[in-house]
Formats: sequence, structure tokens, C-alpha cells
Amino acid sequence: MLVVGASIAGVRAVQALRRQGYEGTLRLVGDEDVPAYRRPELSKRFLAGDLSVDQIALATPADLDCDVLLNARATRLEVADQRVWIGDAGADPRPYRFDGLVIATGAHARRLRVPPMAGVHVLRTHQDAELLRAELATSPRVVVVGGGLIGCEVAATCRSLGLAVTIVEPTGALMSGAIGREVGARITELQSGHGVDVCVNCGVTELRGGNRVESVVTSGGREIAADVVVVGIGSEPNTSWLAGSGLPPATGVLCAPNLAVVGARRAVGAGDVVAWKSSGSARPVRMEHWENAVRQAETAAHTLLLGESAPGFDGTGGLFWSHQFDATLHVLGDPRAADEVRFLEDDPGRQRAVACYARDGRVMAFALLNSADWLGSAGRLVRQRAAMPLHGTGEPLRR
Amino acid sequence: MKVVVDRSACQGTGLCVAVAAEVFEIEDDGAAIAHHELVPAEWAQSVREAVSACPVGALRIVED
Ligand SMILES: Cc1cc2nc3c(=O)[nH]c(=O)nc-3n(C[C@H](O)[C@H](O)[C@H](O)COP(=O)(O)OP(=O)(O)OC[C@H]3O[C@@H](n4cnc5c(N)ncnc54)[C@H](O)[C@@H]3O)c2cc1C
Ligand code: SF4
Repeated sequence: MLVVGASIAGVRAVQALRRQGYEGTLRLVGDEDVPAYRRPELSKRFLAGDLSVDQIALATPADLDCDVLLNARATRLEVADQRVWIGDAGADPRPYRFDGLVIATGAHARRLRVPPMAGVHVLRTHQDAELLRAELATSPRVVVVGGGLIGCEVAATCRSLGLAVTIVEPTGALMSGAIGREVGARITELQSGHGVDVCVNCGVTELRGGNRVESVVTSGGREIAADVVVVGIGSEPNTSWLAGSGLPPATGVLCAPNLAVVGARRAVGAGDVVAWKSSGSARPVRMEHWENAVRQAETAAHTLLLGESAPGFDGTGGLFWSHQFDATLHVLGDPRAADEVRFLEDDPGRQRAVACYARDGRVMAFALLNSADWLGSAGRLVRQRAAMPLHGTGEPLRR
Repeated sequence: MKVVVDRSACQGTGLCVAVAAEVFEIEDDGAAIAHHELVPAEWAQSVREAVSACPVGALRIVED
């Protein structure tokens, strides 16, 4: 069996294959230069401090019983012959036959379409984080382009280091893409409250400078001086190596409800690269968080061992978290912009909020700001798709 | 089966609570605790899932 992509989804897929009883040979291939690490730390403690990559290494059992190839890139998939071409440490690619394939190649950061300029960063890999971190040591004025999860975390980390930080966000609230406007407004308040200059409803029209960036010009005509610009405008799946394989076109690797790759035999997908088509929904979704990668890896391994008849992935109960300043945000389920949002608790003074997202009268998601005590009951309500209105909100509902 | 939380490593991500709310909870200090150090057999599987999900490796199973 072959697993391509040696980050959280790939490593957990290897572990799951072994745990689920696979005893044959296993090869894990990744194009980064170090073993898997905890990517979420890159915008948090790794960026703030002087941790080394080993200190954020992913905890993995010593007895993985797997042949690991690092610095090795898959360049081509041949669906009919069940072969993947792999270029090992710069050598010419060679074909590897597989009986089972896990595609876990994740995603890369989307960049602004501007000519390269010093001082402009994205954040996805440990190298990205090291380059950015080195620049932060010179006390730059930081402008973050895009107020999504990564943008907000980078802003919080930079601000906590005492730097002047501006976030430029095209929608009306930070993180609105992930959690909608109402809860996004709480994140906007959180960031402004800590002295981040938050510029919402603000697109970027131009980066000015010569070899090095000097300012960011917004759609409102404002010019913001910048020594460092961090671009956090989302990600794109790593699928270029699949060009020519004949897999159906999609943003990501299109997978069936049980994560079998559509258009290939004996192949499954897991993690950020997957465009998952649940049995209920018309459009495939890409879910880009840690917990999703872990659980998809488990289901994908199961599907590989069991075949077509394997049960579907359960996408209802997903969770992601975010740390910004001293606040923790937990988001359960799948919030959408059109959902009706009800605050079951809202205490701006303590930066506490419990927001419930309903669709067609059913609970679909929760966002918890500094309200981890709600995790248990919120998770239950989301999994049950509980009917709205929730009676007896507050204390009695918890736990 | 026993489960131990390394509370100094825990980052309060809540993943363990999401997969095994019967066993884990986040305390006011933002770190997780396990209600049942000795995990009842019916929850053993979800506790294993929590261990695998924890992004900082703060959970450890001690088989007895
Ligand atoms: C800065 C940052 C902060 C984050 N914070 C959070 C957070 O707080 N909470 C949360 O839930 N999630 C967070 N995430 C998201 C989380 O890290 C991802 O969802 C997770 O890493 C996805 O895992 P993956 O294995 O699917 O993909 P990735 O981690 O992207 O790994 C894919 C691997 O495959 C390799 N690869 C790609 N192409 C090839 C090829 N052709 N051949 C060989 N190898 C290849 C890549 O180099 C990479 O090592 C964050 C992400 C980032 C970047
Ligand atoms: S999953 Fe790990 S880091 Fe997250 S709350 Fe549980 S023990 Fe802490």
C-alpha cells in the first residue's frame, strides 16, 4: 500500500491501516524535508517563539512499521496500471505499483497575483513560518491580507509580540467565511480590542514597493505602510501531480461518501486535498481542519481494506479550534452564511459567546468563544440535528 | 485501559471532548481532564480516537 503526503492525514492513515489489521508492506511518501509536524502551531507558538521543527513534531508511535520516504514527490498517477511515479530526493521519478493508494497531499497557500516582492509571505509550511518569524524579529509593521483563521491567528501572534498590525478583510467581519457575520463580528471585536487595526469591507488593490514591499493599497483608497505582508487568502488543493491521470475535474480529489476516489480503483483520499461528496449534498466540500484529516484518514483506511461496500464518512460532527490572544474559539459542525444564528450566551465583557446555527429549524453548528464548557452539549445537539428552538437554554442545557 | 492527560501539554483544542464527551471535559483553566481514569469498555474506542485526534499528543493510554 502507498500513502502519498506525509502530514497528519497520511500518518494517521498509515496508523489506521495497521490498527485495522493490514500486515503487508506500507510506504509513506512526502515531499517535505522533515517528518510530519503539527501545522496548526505555525501560526501560534511556533511563530511567536523559538521552537524548532522537532519540537512541533507529530507524536507518532515508534513502531509504525512503514517505509518512509521524505523529500520525495509523487509526480504522476496512472489509474489503470495502479502506479504512482515518485521522484526521490531530486532523482528522476520511478514508478511504484500499488494495491491500495491513499491520496493525502493536502493543500498549499493561495498567493496574490502580484510579482514577487521581498517582505510578502504566505504561511503553510515550516519554512514559510521560519522565514516570517525571522522578519518579525526586526519589529516590522505587519499587514495581514485576509481575515480568515490563519490571518487572524497570525495577526494575534504578531500583535502579542508588540508589533503594529493591520488586517485587511474584504467582507464585513473577520472569519466570516468560516463562521458567518454575527460571530465573525465577535472576532473583529476581539482583534480590535487588542489593538489590531481591523479594516473590514476592504479589498486589496495593489502592493506598492520596489524589490521590497512598502505599502498595501485598499479598495477604499487607503494606503497602509507595511514592512511585512502576510497573505492569508485561503488554500488550493495539491492536485497538480494528478494532472493527466483522468480523474474527474474538481477543486480537490473528488471522493465518494466513503472516501473512495471517484474514477480510480483501489484509491482513497483523506484530509485537506479531498473534495468530499456526501450522500446527501449536491456539491462536494473540502474541509480543511485537523480533526477532519484525522477522521477522514480512519475512514479512508477502512474503505481501502473493506472495498466499495465500506460505510460513508460521517461529516456531521466536525470541529476546529483557533487560538487568538488569550481567547479560544471552537466551531462544531458546518456553519453556513445563510444559517439563522442565535446567541445562547453573549458576554462581550468576558469575551464569551455561545452561538447556535440553525438551518430548516435544525441545529447544524455551534461556535463557542471562550466557552469550552459547552463542547459536550453543543456536540450532542449538532450530531442529533436537534430541533429549534432549544428549550431551556443556558445552564440546564449544558453537559 | 487507563487514559492520562498531560495537562501541561494540553492546548485546550477540545478534540478529545468532541470525540469522547463522556470521558473528557475542559476545565476553567482551559486544559482537559479525564473523568474516568479507568475507561469503561464501552468508551474505549472513542478514547482511542481521542488519543489519535489530539493535536499535541497530550493523551496517553496505559493498557493494563
Ligand atoms: C498556519 C496554519 C494554522 C492552522 N491552524 C489550525 C487550527 O487552529 N485548527 C485546525 O483545526 N486546523 C488548523 N490548520 C489546518 C490543518 O493544519 C490542516 O487541516 C491539516 O494540516 C491538513 O492535513 P493534511 O495531511 O490533509 O494536509 P497537509 O498538512 O497540507 O499535508 C500534505 C502533505 O503532503 C505533501 N505533498 C503535497 N504534494 C505532494 C506530492 N506530490 N508528493 C509528496 N508529498 C506531497 C505536502 O508537502 C504536505 O507535507 C492550520 C493550517 C495552517 C497552515
Ligand atoms: S485533544 Fe489534546 S490538546 Fe485538545 S483538549 Fe484534548 S488533550 Fe487537550
